[in-house]
Amino acid sequence: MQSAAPPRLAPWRATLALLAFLAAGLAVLFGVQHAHRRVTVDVLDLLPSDQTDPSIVLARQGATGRPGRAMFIALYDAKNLTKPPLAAARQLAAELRARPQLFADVFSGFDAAARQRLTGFFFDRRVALRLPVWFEAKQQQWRDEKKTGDPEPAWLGSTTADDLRDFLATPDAMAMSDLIPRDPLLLLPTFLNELADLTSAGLSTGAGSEDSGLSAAGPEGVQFALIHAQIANSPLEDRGQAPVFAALEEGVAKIRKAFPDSDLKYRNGGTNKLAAETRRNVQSELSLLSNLSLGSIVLLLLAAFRRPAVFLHLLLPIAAATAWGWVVCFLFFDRVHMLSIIFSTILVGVAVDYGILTLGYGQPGQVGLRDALRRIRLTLIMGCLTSVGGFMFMVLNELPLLKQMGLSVALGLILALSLYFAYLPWMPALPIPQAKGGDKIFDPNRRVLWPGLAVAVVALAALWLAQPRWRDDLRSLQQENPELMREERAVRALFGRSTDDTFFLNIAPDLPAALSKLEALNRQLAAQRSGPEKYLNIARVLPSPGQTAACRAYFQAHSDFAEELKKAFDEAGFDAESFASFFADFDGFLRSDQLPEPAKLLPELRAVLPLPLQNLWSDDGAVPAWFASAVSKSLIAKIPADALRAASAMPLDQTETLNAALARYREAAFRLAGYGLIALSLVVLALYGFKRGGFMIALPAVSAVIATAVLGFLGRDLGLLQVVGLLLGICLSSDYSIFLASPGSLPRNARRSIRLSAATTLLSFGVLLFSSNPALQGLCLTVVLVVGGSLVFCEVSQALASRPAGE
Amino acid sequence: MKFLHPLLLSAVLAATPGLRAEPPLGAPTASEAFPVYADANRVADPARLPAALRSVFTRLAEADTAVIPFVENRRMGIIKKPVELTGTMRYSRKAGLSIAYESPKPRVLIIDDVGLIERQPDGRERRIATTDRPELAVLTTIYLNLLRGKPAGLFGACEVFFIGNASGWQMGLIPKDESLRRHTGRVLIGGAAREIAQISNLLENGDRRTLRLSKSEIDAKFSSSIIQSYFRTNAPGKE
Repeated sequence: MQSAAPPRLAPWRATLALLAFLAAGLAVLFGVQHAHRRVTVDVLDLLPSDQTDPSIVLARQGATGRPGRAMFIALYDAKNLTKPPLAAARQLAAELRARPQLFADVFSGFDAAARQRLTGFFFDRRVALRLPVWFEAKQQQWRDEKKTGDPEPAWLGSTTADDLRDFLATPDAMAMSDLIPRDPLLLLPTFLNELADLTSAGLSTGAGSEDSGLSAAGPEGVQFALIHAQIANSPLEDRGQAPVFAALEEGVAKIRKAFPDSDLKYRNGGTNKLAAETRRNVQSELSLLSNLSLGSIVLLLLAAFRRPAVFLHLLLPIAAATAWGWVVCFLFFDRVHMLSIIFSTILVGVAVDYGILTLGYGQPGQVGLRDALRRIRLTLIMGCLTSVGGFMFMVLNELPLLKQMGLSVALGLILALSLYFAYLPWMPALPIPQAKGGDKIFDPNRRVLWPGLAVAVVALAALWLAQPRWRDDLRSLQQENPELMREERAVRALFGRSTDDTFFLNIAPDLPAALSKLEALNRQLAAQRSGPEKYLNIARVLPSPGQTAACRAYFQAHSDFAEELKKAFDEAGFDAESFASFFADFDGFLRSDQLPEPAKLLPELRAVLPLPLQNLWSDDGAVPAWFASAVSKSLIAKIPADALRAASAMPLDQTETLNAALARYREAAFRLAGYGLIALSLVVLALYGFKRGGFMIALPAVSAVIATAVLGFLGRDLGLLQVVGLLLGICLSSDYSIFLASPGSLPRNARRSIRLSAATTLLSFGVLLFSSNPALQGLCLTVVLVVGGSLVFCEVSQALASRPAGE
Repeated sequence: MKFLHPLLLSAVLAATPGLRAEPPLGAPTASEAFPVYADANRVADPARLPAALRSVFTRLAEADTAVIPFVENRRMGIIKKPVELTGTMRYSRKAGLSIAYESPKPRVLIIDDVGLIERQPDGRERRIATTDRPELAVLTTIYLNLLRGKPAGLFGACEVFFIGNASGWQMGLIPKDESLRRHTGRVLIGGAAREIAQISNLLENGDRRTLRLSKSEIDAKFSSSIIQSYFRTNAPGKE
């Protein structure tokens, strides 16, 4: 071993330069990551943003569009639990409405003007908009009576006269007596009936839907006054959370002053509350665990080297590499997920084993670190490349989590190794305890090969027996607080969400097409409906162009309907002449060729409907467009799957669809990582030959197979994050096998480096096993199993290889 | 039609000014057809009631509960023959008034100090609070103050007209609130002593509703099942 050439740069200057590089990286990182919402913990940010998969787009719309921006506030008077504080709720609603930058709309009940706008809208269009809906109901009635074909005009006339006769016996008939001559088909009352159904589902439990105040009784008889709010900003952003809650608190404080005799309290729910709580919980837990994890690495290395100065020289390049790696990542990604940051920081931290290995080859006063690096250059580069290769292939995946983690780890590792190569040569050999053991180069001979083959066969058999279940569950990526979810469900129940219905979406490229799909679904639902079953959606009050055309065509083809109706009115005891104004309107409808234009009508309708009903269809211009329906579970179960597909109807709960999407990404990640590892394996085989290269490849592969089998035996689902865990484990383990089996590598140095590196990995990922996030737990368990297995195999292989021949 | 929402139904009229027109041709005005509405019969000051009217209120106030079968006739311009409904009114000083229609279709209307409830035979309810609907507040004021024998409350909401004596009287009420007047018209009540024989609503368009009340069972005992069926559940102060 020749002594190194004297350094041209004083060590302290090199350290200073590296410190400056680190400080600059930290400063830039601080600047970019503090920009608006760069670091996120939202599960939606784990999904691709430019995805054409409708389920993912809908999930985004649902979370951040109209439905996700709904906020529910239930006010009650603790001094008088039996009376809902409606006046206070109205005042609170006014307070919130006065903050349009936070609340786009607030609804606490109809006022006279809103009522007038709504009913006026439909009264002015009662024949054009309501006649087709009325006609479809009549067609259904005709079919219910087991009749086929189109309804006969005489039957239509007589049942209409019967309906009117029945209506005259209702308590409301007298109040409507002025209207009936112009609306003997009861187009407006039936609309109000439909709307009442919609509002009782959307506005309250039905216990009290009142015109200037919404109220509902809680399970213990507590009377709540209800407020629907639509926040102005995304519920996943800060602007949709803290300032909104602060404004609500301020508003409540004001009404408490205005109503001193009451003890006003409130409960609230909404996506923003769930998101804020989740963020707080995730951030606090992950911060604690990742600090513990990194702290444990630091302590372990300090204990191993016993000299903080040595440790700092190893840590500086890693810290600088991590900081600059993240700077580059923030340039590539708008938002970066907390999970990516934690994992990649830990993984880059593991790159400290390059430094550990290098230090082992230096000898104070004899071999400098420049020479040490030169000696193990190939080992280090190949160790780094196997990891970088695996992670770089993850960048090709569409999932932001994998992209971010892949890019940051790959950059971090390359930077870390580059900085070691740039920095350590200026350092003298650092005083570290010499590793124990001989200088005989590790040889993966037959004593290693045969047991290794046996283990590989057993591992494959175990994998076959374990039958691991490959399945993704989006819910495992979230950290649900059971108490919070219970409160959320309780608040939403006050606002009318029942447990016996389910939400369906009809999806199409635009709103008119989606409305046609909804109309088709409604025909199925109307045909199958029985007893108390319900289906609630906007097509019950608004016809599609097709519905209107069919209605007009029927009446044009059955021009005797008007005469039949007059006859039926006459026979039922009505003065048919008193309905002259209606017949004139009806004639006008038949002569017209105008069809409703959903693109024009829907925004107008949205402007007059009460807030909760405004959320029954997607934003104007949103793609894909959708209409939501609340359907009794028993009713939707009767609809054939083909009919649901034909109407593009899918459940609002997209979890299963998203899980399928995640499974596709998992397979893609598997494939890409596989290609990457195969390519690198070929390089390793080419560089190190079949025997050494084969050992370097087989060791992590067998560990990964065993880890997968163990997970299967443990009954754990293997999802996307487990694939990531396997990849991480393989990348780390391949470092160990390369360190051990490189022809220029001293086994005692390699062993120390492997032990320390594996110990830091097991410790850091072991700490993260305590996370309450199931996905994080699964990932960490996978890494621990693969790395743990690899460590054992390295130790056993070395022991077997070093046994004297003949033993 | 059975799910009609009173809130929205009544709102239609408020929302459609065009409907206020079209008075029936040749219909007599209320004061022409019903002499009680003559100016001479107007009672302006509740503190100076005619003796007969004071006696009527005093006698009405004596009843804690009452059960009164009735027949209701609805005469409307669009029909040749009146629609007839039958049922039973139940009055409780504390719990309010319940109008249980039995034919042609059963349903119960409950009018009390909280508001109005329409209850279907299967138990479904539509509720409207008096605080939210001024016109209904006047309606409940009329019925409840009349039955409780409280003239002050009645005078606050209506112009009051009276003819007759304790053995036979007629009371005319014209709601001061215009929207209620359009919905319920003038209210005409006829009776003898503390028995109310007839209540009519005379709409401006000539349509008319008349309840003819049979002899009432005064101070009837209401069982808990009657209260449960015909009055507000958890009503404050219910008997």
